[in-house]
Amino acid sequence: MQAVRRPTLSEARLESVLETAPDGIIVMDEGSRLLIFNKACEQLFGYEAGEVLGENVAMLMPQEHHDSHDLYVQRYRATGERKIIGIGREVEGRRKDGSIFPLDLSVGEALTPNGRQFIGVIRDLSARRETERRLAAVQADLIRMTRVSALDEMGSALAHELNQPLTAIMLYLQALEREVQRLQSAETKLEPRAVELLGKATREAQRAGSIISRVRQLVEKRAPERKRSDLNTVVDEALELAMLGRRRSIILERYGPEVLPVVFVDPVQVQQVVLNLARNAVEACQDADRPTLTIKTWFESDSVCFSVGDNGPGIAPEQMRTLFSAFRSENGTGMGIGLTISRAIVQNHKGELLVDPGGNGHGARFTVRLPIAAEERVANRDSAAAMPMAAAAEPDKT
Amino acid sequence: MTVHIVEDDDGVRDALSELCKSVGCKVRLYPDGETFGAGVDVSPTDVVLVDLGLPGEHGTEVIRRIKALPMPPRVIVISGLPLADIHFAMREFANVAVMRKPLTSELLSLLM
Repeated sequence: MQAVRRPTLSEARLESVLETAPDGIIVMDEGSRLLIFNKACEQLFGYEAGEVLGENVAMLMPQEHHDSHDLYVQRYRATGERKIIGIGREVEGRRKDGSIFPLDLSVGEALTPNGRQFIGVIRDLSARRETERRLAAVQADLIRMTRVSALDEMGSALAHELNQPLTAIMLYLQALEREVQRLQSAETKLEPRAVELLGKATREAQRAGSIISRVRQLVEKRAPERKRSDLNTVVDEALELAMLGRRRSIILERYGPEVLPVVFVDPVQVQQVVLNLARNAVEACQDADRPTLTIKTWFESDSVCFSVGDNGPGIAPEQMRTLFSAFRSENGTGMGIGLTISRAIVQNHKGELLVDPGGNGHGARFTVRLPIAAEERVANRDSAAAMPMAAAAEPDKT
Repeated sequence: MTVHIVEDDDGVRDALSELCKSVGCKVRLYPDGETFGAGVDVSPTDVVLVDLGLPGEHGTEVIRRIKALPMPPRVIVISGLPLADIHFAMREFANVAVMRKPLTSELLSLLM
């Protein structure tokens, strides 16, 4: 038809508007038959114009709206009551491949010599939806991180507040011990049982003190400080923290040689890694029969290693992809953040963090390799650092 | 010898005083730096225990005044602050013993 007759000026204009419009434009008649389906619509729905012209517009909608659409049009024609015309609303569209996508639909009407026609302008909302979804996910992550950070703050404040009475208790006990010594020498023999109890109380207060010091070391903001350290000590101290309050519910299996080559690390940072991995493992095996954490230390030719394994279900393949992304919101366990930090710490130490996802009845296992301290570093350290055990055990000394 | 204790926490102050008394020291207690004042009653052979985190005047102010005395007594700092903060606060003073709370090591050995 077009080949026979040259288009008029307004037809040519309309044609070019339809071609260039970024939004989808459709025109249909009173019988819901499609008269115009522009280029943008072809992109949106995946149909060629030729496939849809003359067809019922319902083919562009999800199945559940097919029948109702004709009713909407009939009702409008009968009552003149506008539900969408001149208002616009969010509806769902159906692509040729059957997939459904959100779209914003504005509808106008025109009275033509051929009867009433309806014009629809369609804007794809899937990109915006995706952005909104991601925004919501990031917000949820942020809230969780804020909570984690609030807990850290609380831990720090709690440790500080507990410190004062604990300091007082330890001083009282020291004073009492002096008193007891004085009594003993003055031959006013004290009940041996009282002396024994006093000793026990002192030991327990010291234990509480060392736990608090360790918590504080972890939560305090500080510059990294590397020293020659014994990985066994570092790992065991962190495990003590990780297992606080869980000794009864989790079985801890610890394997490794008594003596390991010295590593040159920031013990507090490495403890943070152990703590993160252990916490993840505890969470992973909670529903297991006899939940068990397996912690190993060993050494190879040029590195000292530790691994943290659990007897949980393992890490699903789809989780592996996003395991190390800080903002991973699919399950909201917060593992991503801890792992990202852990990996960064290990890499800063020129080491590596390896993951064995497990599965099929095996739990996940994370392995950390740290390079053995190079001998030339020894020369640069002071003499105290030459005793790695002492240096690692007393990082708090002023 | 008198041990002067400048510490705001009641429990810690009292415990410190009991411990010092148990080894035969006299004690004078001050809940803050202002009460301690210029330190004119302090003799050169005394010891002053100062908590850094005092309400009002900071512990370092107290130490500064003590160090300005013609014959300054020995000062021992007690603090529950993070280590980095202690180092920062103490950078202007040399030869001041610092003990971190909780006091795991023997305070008495420092006093003797």
